[in-house]
Amino acid sequence: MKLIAGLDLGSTTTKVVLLADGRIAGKALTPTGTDSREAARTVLEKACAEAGGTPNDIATIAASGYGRRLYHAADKVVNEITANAVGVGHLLGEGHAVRTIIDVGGQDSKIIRLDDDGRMSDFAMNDRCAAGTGRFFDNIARALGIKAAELGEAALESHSPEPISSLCAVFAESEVVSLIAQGKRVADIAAGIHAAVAKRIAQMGEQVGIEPEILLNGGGALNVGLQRAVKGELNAEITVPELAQYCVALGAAASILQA
Amino acid sequence: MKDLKKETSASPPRRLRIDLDRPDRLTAAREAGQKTVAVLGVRVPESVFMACDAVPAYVGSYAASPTGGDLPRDACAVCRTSLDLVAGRWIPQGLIDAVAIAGACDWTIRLAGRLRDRVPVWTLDVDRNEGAEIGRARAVRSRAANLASVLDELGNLTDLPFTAKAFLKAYEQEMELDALCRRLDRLRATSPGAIPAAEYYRFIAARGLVTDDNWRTTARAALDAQADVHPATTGNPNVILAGSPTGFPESALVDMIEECDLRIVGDDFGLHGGLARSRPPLRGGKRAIVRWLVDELAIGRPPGENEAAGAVAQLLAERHADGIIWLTYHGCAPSAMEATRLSRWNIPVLTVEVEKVTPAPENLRTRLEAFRDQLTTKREAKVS
Repeated sequence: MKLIAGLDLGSTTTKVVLLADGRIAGKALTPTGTDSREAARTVLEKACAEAGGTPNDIATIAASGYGRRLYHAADKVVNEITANAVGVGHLLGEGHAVRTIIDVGGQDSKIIRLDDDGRMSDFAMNDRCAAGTGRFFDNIARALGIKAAELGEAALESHSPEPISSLCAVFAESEVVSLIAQGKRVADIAAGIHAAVAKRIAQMGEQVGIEPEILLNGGGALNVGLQRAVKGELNAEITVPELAQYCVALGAAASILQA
Repeated sequence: MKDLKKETSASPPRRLRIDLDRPDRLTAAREAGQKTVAVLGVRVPESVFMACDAVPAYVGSYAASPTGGDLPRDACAVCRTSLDLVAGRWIPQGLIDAVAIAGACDWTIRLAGRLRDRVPVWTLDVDRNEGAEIGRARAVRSRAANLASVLDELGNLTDLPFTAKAFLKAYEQEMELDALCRRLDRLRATSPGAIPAAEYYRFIAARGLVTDDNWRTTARAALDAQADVHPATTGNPNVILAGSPTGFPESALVDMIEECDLRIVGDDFGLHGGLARSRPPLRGGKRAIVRWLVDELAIGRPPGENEAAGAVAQLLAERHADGIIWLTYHGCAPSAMEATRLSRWNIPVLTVEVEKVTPAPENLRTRLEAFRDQLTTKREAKVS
């Protein structure tokens, strides 16, 4: 069995997708922690086991994501913006109608525009600001005393979101603490936070223009509160693929097939 | 009045310009009897100060550190750093006789206000595109009066009244140096990869370090050194560096741009690039010079939307450039508006905020690589 591995060495999570004859044969993810190479080894072993093979079956590796240049075993290195576009194309097949990808990652978020052939034609990416990233949601969840994974569900229970005026992660967190002190409901604060992040995503999208169909991916895409908020803010339908966290890894692997 | 006849070949070399934080050079210039003027904004006509034997010392730079001063955080790094440097160091150390600032945005004007009670400060009005045609004549009159007053004050400061003859001499020196810079720029454009970008910007920035008896040889030696060039690279997307015209990019940044397989084929930082007007030969008396300077301050770029779009398109076509990397500072509103305008014309633009707080290099590298891929895709689409 000849496997092609696409590694996405993200700031928070390391993902891998294995392709065999162009089809997904295995996948795995693990927290990146402080040693991205160790995280890569872990996911490769897990994914190979899922594919019914061993790491010795891997013929080629493409690395992407924040730590891509640290992974010296890679045969190819591809940036995560291009990889995401390629991954979505591979996932949905030729002729797909997605024109905008919103990728909410652990440390940054991106808006990627695709042309009619599904190739990346423009992008916007936050640079210094943590608002609208997985890390931001983690901090807010901590301030609210709930798990990050519960933040989205909590937001869905709100009927009256608390307005969050600041889009700055630091100030927004202070605002949240202040709202807690005022006795506001956790659900309403959580919904307010998601609405603020959705607004920021929409603002970033203005740089490149958000056109339907819209696909939301990255770790943040699994947050149901964010899904609802983005849909509301953009007043448009959004699709969240089943492999939302794996698009970059898939794209890295698929980029080897393109070469 | 200063006795110019005393200036002999035995005199210490007199400096034309001083770049950035070089207090030793400021001290030397003052010891040689020259007045020093801190300058912020590349559209401030430095020949004016040279004509009165004052030394312009350029303050703004892309190397700006954001530590600066007591300006709020929404001021850009250039303003904060300039205040830090000029108010915090140069003025207390007695290194600066006056400050000249282009009134390009609200913050530069406020910056001037904060320095005014300590040294003479000249704010040169520049066209901020706010004027409708009906207010233009009034704006030009106002700029002319503003400039005339600066020239008078400058003459009083240096005891050397501004004269057309002295100005034209300084202007010609600048023209010649600019011409050398343009030759380098042209060499870079016609022989891709001929000049490592970092080396190029090092030279361009260093032109401020020359003196009036060595500047030609310095510039030409640098040009000759670049003639022995590296082999050209081909195939990579070509980019123009442009942006907030306050200085030149740091070597680390241009190195990273080239490492990401983007080829820099030109720039426009308001000094000599294709978007800026090249200096025309000047003749005439003081009135004609003031009129030209007013125009220079008013029209740093073509005024109309269509003309401006045309100039950008021409530059991109001349250099076979695929896109523009727009360098700016966080909080620099005029620069952000320019970048937005480029995007509106469907020109591929990557905006990079360049002060030192600019985030992790990996973030920037990702954006540069993605921009390269974006430009490659567009190029391929054109071909097919």
